[in-house]
Amino acid sequence: MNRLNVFRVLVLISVRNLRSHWAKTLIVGSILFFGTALWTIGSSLIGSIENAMSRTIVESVTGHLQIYQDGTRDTLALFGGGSFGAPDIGEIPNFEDLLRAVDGVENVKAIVPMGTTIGLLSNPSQLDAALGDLRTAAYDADAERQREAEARTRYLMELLLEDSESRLHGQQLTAELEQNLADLRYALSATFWTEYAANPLERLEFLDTRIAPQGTDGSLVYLRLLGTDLEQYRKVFGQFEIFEGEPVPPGERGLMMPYHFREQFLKNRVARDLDAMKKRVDDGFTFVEDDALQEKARSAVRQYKRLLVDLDPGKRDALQSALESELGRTGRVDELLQEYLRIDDANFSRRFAHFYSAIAPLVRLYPVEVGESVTVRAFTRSGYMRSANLKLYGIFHFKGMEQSFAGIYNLVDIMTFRELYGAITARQRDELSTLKEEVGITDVGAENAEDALFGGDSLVVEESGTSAVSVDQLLAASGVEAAGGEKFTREDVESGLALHAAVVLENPELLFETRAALDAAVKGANLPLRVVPWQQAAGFAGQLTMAMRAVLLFGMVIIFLMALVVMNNTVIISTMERTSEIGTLRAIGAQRPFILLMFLLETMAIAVLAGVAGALAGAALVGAMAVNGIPAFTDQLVFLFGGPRLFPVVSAADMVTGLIIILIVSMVATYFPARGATRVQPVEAMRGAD
Amino acid sequence: MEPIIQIENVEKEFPLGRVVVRALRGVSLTIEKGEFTAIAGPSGSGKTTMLNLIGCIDVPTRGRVLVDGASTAEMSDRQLTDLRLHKLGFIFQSFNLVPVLTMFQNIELPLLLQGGLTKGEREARVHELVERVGLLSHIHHKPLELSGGQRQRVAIARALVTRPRIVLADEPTANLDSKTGENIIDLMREMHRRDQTTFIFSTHDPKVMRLAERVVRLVDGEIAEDVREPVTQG
Repeated sequence: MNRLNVFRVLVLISVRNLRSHWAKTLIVGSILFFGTALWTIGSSLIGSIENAMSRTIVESVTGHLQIYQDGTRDTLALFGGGSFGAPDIGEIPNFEDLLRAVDGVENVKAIVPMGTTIGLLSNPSQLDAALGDLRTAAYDADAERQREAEARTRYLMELLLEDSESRLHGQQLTAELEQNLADLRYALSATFWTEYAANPLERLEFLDTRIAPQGTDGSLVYLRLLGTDLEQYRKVFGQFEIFEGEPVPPGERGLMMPYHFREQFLKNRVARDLDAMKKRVDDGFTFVEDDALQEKARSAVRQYKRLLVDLDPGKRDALQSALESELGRTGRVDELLQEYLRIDDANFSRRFAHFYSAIAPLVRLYPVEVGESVTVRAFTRSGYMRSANLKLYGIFHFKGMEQSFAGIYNLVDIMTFRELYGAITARQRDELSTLKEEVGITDVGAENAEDALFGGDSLVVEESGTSAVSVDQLLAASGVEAAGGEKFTREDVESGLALHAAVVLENPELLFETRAALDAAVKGANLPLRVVPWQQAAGFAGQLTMAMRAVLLFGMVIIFLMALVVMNNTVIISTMERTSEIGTLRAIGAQRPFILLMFLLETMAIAVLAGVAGALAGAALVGAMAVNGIPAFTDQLVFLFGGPRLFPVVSAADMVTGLIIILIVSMVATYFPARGATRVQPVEAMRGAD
Repeated sequence: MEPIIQIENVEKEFPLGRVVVRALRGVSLTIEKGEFTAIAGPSGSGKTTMLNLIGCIDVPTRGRVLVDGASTAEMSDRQLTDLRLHKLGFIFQSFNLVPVLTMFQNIELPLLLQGGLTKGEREARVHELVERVGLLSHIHHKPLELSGGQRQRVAIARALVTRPRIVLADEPTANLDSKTGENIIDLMREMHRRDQTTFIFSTHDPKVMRLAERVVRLVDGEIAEDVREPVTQG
């Protein structure tokens, strides 16, 4: 009761003092206000980004934890890392061992074997096909076919030339580019075709070596491949959703392509330009004002031929009539098409809708459609190119993350991955040993390589004379790789190699506990593997949020240090000014804690007021930002935001943390000068002048 | 008569740079309960030091000071503070009111520090004293809204509100004009008569001195004169 009264009078003194020194209060208060507001805004934004990103990362590839080989040179970086090429993250030689080792660990929903590599997607380009026809015609001396193939080849080369020239804008003209252009112009000249008539095979050589490699239209696209147990993957990564087509049936080989990858890298250029325009128009830009939109519009007109390339006569007619009815006049199809693609603010939305309803069904939007096969090539671990023909079963995206970077990986069955990676299956090992017997090589381990290779009595060296031949070379030479088309079983999937494995948890809150349990289980089974949380497995992306937090923290430390110094000074000055008052209070019977509390309460009062106001203001601002979302202006931001807009969420925890930090800072800033104040002697009361 | 203050061979030294100032050089004095005593002397004579020793604001270098029978030298800071709170009342030269509190709150403050009284009791106590010092109409004013004399009246009320055994006043009239100063001493004497509270005040003003019942004159840290005389007005 009495303590309460004393406290009440202390609060009264504190508040009154704050009021009478309002300028000082205002300055200290503003610093604390901005500090807390900034903290609330910063950590809410980062928290929201973290959430968005973790969703993108965790629910598409990494799961909550990743397991991979311990002590490797590189670390797992599934969303971009520092190293170029394929990082050396070791391997899990037999995934089954891992499954067995961690069997029974609680909170584990599933463990999915994985392996990633960079692949090259190639499907015969139109130019390749035309050249193939030309070659057949030359061999068969088929004049009719020759004429038709020549016309197509020339047409495609014209496109290529135009394309290369348009791409030159703003680019340095290298010797190589110059040579390419010269070759194209030559191949299109009358001279060339006169020569061709005289000596077709020799000139075909020129086309094959100098022109064909230039034809890039969809023929070579890099893609990130994630080889996994597709059946499990689909079950465990619940947001996975088929957009078009069907999942790869169990036991079959096949490819699943992420929606955005196909849209951004494989779609017909004209359609892609239209999509880009749509996005920009939706963002509120207009053709009249926006340079980027104008450039896209010009590009669509330039690229119009890409819509015409492989139209058969029937579709060409259909296209022509569609264009004629839309434009309300007759004319040649390419002329109509160019006019059709001249887009401005007035006709854009109509054209865009019309394009997808009437034109798109007639033309080929993607070089590879669902149900077709493509060739995927990749380098094995030791650097040999392997290829696999895969059927594209479906296009997928992730529910609620359609606009994010969640689908950066093309999915492929793990059996195919193992082949591309150069792992040896049991069957291959058998064949290999037969082969070895035939050729006469024994395995040469590193520890006895010298003896084996140079030892005088070694039969190996004397008899065969071969140096150490790598398994890859053997396999490449023997054609063992061509195992495609065969069905495989669950056991095949589980008993082979994986590079890493995703662990999906029942309850993600227990991530660290489960990590420890898994780690113990793995160590217990003597497997040289490590278990890392998704942040560490995501590479650059995972570290990004940590880096952002670090920057925020650094900024906050500076602001709070500033607050600390200013407050400290203010309190010191205040104690000096009020020496007489302190002395008086001590003389009339106030104990030391009373004085301490008097000053602490004063700063606490500012801190609480300014802190609460700051946290609320910060929260309000974040709330305001969340109304329309923060637009992602660049692709990097789209990645960070997990979509085109970030809708930040204020967390009460952030607000409370900010408040607590502010209170601690104020306490620290006040405590020491206030303790000094308690040492003021009552005698001081006698000296004071009013 | 029973002694309330006993000062026995007290010496007090202050370090002042390299030299030591001997403020009191062996002073012995006994003050009886209910006395109205002035400690007089020119500035630097040691009267404030003596008051501080009596007021438990300071402790002697040598010798003993007994306040209500208890020796101050052996007490902790907390005990001294407690003694000041419960047995002493202070009136300062510069009034020393808490500027942000109203008159009422200033006077109530020692009661709050003491604890033990209900809100009603505290209010009654404060009101009674404010009435006695004649400032009832200003009870909710802040110190800065009051004149010097009024402030010193508030200070007297604050010093008396806990019903202390001894009230110490350090040059209570120094910052007041002589008429107001005399009024203040009159008020103190009235309070003293009514409650038989022991009053000790220091002064160098002969006019004020004459209002005391007993005058202890200090010169250079020693008692030069100790006179008990009947009060002569004017």
